[in-house]
Amino acid sequence: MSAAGTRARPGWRWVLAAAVGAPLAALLASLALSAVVPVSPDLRYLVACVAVAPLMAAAPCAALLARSEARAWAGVALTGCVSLLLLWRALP
Amino acid sequence: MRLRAHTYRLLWEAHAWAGAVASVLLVGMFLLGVASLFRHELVPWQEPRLRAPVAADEPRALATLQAWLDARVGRDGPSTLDVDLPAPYAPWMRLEWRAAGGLKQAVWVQPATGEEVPERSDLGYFLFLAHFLYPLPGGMAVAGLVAVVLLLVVGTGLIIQLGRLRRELVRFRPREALRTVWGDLHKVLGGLGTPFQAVMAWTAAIICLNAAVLQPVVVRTAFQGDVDAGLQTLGYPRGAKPSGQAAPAPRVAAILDRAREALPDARHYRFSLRNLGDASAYADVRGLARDGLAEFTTVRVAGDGRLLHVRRAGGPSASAKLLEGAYVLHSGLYSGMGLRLAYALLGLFSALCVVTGNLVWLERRARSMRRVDVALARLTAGGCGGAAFAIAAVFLANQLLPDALPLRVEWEHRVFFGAWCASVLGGLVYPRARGWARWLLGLSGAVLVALPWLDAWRNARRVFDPAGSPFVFFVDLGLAALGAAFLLSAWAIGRIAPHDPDGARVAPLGVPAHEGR
Repeated sequence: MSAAGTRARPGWRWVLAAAVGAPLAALLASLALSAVVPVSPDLRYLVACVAVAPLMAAAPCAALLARSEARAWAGVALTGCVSLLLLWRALP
Repeated sequence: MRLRAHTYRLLWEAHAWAGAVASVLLVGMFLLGVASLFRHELVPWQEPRLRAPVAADEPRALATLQAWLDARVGRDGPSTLDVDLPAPYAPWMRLEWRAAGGLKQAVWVQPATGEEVPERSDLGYFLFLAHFLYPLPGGMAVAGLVAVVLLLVVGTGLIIQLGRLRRELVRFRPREALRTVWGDLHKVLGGLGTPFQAVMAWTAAIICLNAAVLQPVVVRTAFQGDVDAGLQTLGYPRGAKPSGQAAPAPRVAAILDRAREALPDARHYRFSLRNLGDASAYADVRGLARDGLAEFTTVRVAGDGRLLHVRRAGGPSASAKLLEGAYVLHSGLYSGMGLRLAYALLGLFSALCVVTGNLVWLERRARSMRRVDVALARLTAGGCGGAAFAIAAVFLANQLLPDALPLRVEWEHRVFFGAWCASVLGGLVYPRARGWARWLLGLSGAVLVALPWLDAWRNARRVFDPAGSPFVFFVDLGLAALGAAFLLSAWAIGRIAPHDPDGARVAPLGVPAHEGR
């Protein structure tokens, strides 16, 4: 873990969160957006199309810049679970 | 603005690792993208019989097509047929359908005489599909992920250069240390190409992820599983199913007239005929009508001539406009040949930017290469050089494979993927990574430069002949220029990097808190 004022260099589990977990969570979040945004179906589709690439590209950076490995995984898990829940409720 | 040291280091590592890992596919996709920009102009080069002009007007061509349909529909003909009408680059009609067993069949039909010959090559279209990795299983999804990685690389590259961008754009010091030279070149190419690369990455991600991932899920989430509503939103509603009642072939001239009445400003270039031989037969008449970032039109006409549906350029909805705009922006279709040439140059610079980024990454580790670094160096040398080699090989195969070879078109595809795979494997076993990349680039360059002479010899024509087919003339020039660029790259690799880094036992250079050089 990090010393006061500095942050640890990412280990392989942290890198795994950034390289695999974060993009997957971002993809799920984009799909979930298309299920919950309160606009017409056409605009929901538009939102998903516009958001998916920037979210997936930014998510690994966010995971790497998290204060700790645990926080990186927590962010991935929280985003993924909330997105899956929304998708599960929305899917016919 | 200055980043904190830790943030800078992490973003630098993310930029470098993401770029290095995706570099093989990125370089390949950029090079294939450059080639596929000119896929239509390539047609007379890949099909020599299309080089001579044909004296047949549109009514004559439609009569020939009608005779072809009348002779087959309702007998042993296909139920689904796509017809590309004669165009400046291809004065013959191209017909494509699926035979029994799902095998693709394609023939060229001479519009004046009705002479029919099997398609010899689909080189340009194949390079276009390979640009999106479409021929590979799951390729579109992988291409979408590679586009996302490129967006990450461009974004992190921009952030770590914040505050220095103006200075880095014009700084190149060829007499400094190797790391500095590669770094300067990478920053100049990256800085100049950032807007292009960002647009390419974002639009490619939209195109590929939409097709592979978004559409199947969003139809369920946003359209409550109603596939028809989703297709209607894009302006491509599903067609009627076969009714089971036999009917003669539709009248193509009447269908084209109806399409012109519906969209007089569009250039209608293709019939997509469905349910042929059935009373529910219809034709989607595809057209082009440039309107900003909107381009593609479709008029659906029933076999009996009723107008069924009109899709104007851009489509009926915001999402249709976004998807079409992304494709048009990505392909440079919103302007003329000048823009495509600019795209081609920027595409080549982008490939070079990825390669120089790799070299910076390797130079930082040159003093102590770990196994993973050596493996990555070999993989990227074989993969990046192999992309160039595969393109040269498929062009050479187009010239050398016998016309009578069964499944000739598929053999060209096999040569392309075989050459790329063999290059990667060769890189893993060849003792020196850069030496292998140099060989591949040199060989690719030599083949591409020689191709205009080979084609001229095979087709008994003068090489670089502006009086002949303009398409062949410009393809000759393009191949020679690309070959010269590869040869120059091979020479530069040999000149600037005479030694492969592999023996030293000193610690690798760390990533500085802020790059000073």
